[in-house]
Amino acid sequence: MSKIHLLALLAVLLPAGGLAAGFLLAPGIYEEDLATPFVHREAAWTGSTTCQSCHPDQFASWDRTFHSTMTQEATPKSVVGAFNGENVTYWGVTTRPVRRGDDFFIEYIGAGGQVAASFPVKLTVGSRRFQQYVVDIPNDGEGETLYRIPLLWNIPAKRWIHLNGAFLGHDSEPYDTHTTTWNQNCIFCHNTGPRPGSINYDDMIARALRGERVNAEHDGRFVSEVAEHGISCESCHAPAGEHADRNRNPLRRYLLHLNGADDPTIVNPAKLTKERSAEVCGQCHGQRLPPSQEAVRDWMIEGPTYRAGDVLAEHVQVTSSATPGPPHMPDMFERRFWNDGTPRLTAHEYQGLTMSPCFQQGELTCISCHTMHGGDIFGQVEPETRTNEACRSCHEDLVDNPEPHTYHGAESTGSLCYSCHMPKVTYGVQEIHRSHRIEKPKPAADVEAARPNACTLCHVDQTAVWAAEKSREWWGDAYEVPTYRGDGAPLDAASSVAALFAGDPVQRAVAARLAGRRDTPLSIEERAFLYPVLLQCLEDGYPTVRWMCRSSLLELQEEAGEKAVPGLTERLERFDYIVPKERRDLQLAEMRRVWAEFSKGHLPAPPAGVYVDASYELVMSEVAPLLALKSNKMIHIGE
Amino acid sequence: MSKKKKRRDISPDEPDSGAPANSTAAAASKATKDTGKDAPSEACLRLGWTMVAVFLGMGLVLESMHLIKLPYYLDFHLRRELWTLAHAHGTLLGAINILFGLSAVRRLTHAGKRATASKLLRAGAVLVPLGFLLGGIGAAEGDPSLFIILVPIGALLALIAVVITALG
Repeated sequence: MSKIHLLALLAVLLPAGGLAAGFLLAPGIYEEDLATPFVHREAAWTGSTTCQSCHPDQFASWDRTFHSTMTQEATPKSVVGAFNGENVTYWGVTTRPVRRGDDFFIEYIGAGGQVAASFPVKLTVGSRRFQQYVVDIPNDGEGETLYRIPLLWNIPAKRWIHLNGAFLGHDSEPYDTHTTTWNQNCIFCHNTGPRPGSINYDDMIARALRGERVNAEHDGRFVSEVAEHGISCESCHAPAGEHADRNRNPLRRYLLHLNGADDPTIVNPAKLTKERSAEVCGQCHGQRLPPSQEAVRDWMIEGPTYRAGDVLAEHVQVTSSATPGPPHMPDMFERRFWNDGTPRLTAHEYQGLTMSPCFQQGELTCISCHTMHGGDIFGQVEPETRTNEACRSCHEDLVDNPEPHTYHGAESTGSLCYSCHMPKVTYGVQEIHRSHRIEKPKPAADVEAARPNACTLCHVDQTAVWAAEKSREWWGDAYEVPTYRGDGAPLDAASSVAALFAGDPVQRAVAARLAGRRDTPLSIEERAFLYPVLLQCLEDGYPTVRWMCRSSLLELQEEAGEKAVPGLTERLERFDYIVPKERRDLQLAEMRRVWAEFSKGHLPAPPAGVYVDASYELVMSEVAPLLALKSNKMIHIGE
Repeated sequence: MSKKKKRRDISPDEPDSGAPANSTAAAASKATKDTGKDAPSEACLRLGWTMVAVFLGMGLVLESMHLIKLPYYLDFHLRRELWTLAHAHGTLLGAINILFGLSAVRRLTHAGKRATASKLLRAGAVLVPLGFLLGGIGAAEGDPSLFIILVPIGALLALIAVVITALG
């Protein structure tokens, strides 16, 4: 055999032989590796760029989401707010967002117009609806303390607003109510692998024990680190340093490919039990606390201990309506839930899911509907999941033939499963979202618990009693008739209208936002009573509620088309929901005048229970007692 | 005409006349004498043009998959990369085969070497794009399917052929 032929033979035999040897030897070599349970907490974080080299498609499908840009370093590419040097004044405090080169600053302007202080913007938080800014405020000691300031950029509206206008803050709350230390708050859920790195936690505790006054927000000093800004691969798949190291060996990889075995060095939420899988999302989408005082110290120094795949309850205390709040607000957590325990703020989706029969008795978990690597980037759900198909796996008969169950037309909104079983009753920054507690609507229990009810959120002219009687007629005597309203309003009041006048801030925000919905059985003329009601609620003490009212009025105007109130749309667009009352009152008086001129004589008689007379003016003698019932209790959003 | 004549002029008779090293070389030499064409060169030319045609066609297929936004191709980064490599390597190795067919008689005066180099080059030219193509079918996340083993085998065979040709 010539040398050339020998070489050629080797060229064939060496790769083929290597492959064959790998086939034969790899199972033995990796038997122990693959059979040994892996402790993810002990693995190193590695970052999404490492993941990208082997999982480019998964990287790309994650990179397009808002998870990836949740926290970013402040650069010309990431900052979307107008740092144009124009003054922005809220609650009497004037700031000036300004850009110098590639750096961004928030300047605080003194009474004389001079710059009293200038703080560099280090980080941005959020990239979808709002972008918040984290500034570095120098301290007198070691370490770095970063603060989330109360001024934020409203991305769709392209304007600066104050956090009172996004976090359900009352007009009376001071400017700095929502200023918070990033290092010990935002860092946890808006980053991957957070480590606050408090350098004086023990010192602060010792001072507090000596009776000295300690302000954790002000006195804390940190050397914070994160594995990666934003919510990246390892938040859901656990730290992947060891996974990447071990899988640099092709033998190991191909062994896993060929025998279909799971790699113990990484977590795939799709392969976890429903409980463990939901907990991966629940680590952030289920508000939680450190489970003990010792854990608080650990969190403040080393960060949370939960890693994807762990049992969440072993690492955190998931909050509920029964969770005791801090001494200055013992019912802080209770306020975040409706009176029946249903979460009413976003970031509590995990609590809602785990209260649902579909989770408790079925196999439903977060990724039954949501997908982190597909679907639209807003809800992270596939288009099909936005229909009744989402429920088909367990409720095929109802999905195929909904009418005998829903008593609504098959094409009606009332025949969409989530319209009734996941109603929009959850407040999240300037929007109302679907409840993640999948449940039967119970008109009596809902109204007695002072929470919105799916029926009357759509049938905005109807009372809770009407909804209860319809339920009894359709689904039997188990549906009781309410004997009182939890908010104190009379039972003969249209439920949504009563909530707008007499509810607490979340009730009012929900009712105000959903007043503008189009998927209601009422024609635009039949909903004309909403105009004077919503105009009245533009006087609400919460900027967010005013925003919701304004949005709904604009929706009604748009839907009305040629029947819209002339001149009102322009005035609504000019109405600034977050400026001082005196300026709003002037704009509101104009809008009321326009409405009064329009409403004379040509509208159908308003329904009963909406506090609007035949001339479409509010019956203030009846509305005033309702307004007196209105609760202005502070809802501490905790974001 | 002139090319044919030229090839005939430098047909491998003289150096080969020292007796072919093996039966392959002898057969190659005989074929050349009988037809006036160098069989190894002809084989490479035939395969080369065929491959250029096939893999240019594959380029059209890939373009079509872009046109209709076929998820099977577009949404799987690794498959897309492997098939692009199959297209590129197939076309390029086809062109190298054509070059070999046009220059082998001049570069490799030894008929036996020429025949061997031709076979190795053809085998390599087929195996490399085939490995990329099949590697993209049934690929696991992040790794091609095991057919990818054809690529290094083909690459080594083609490399040996090219080195033989380079050394003359």
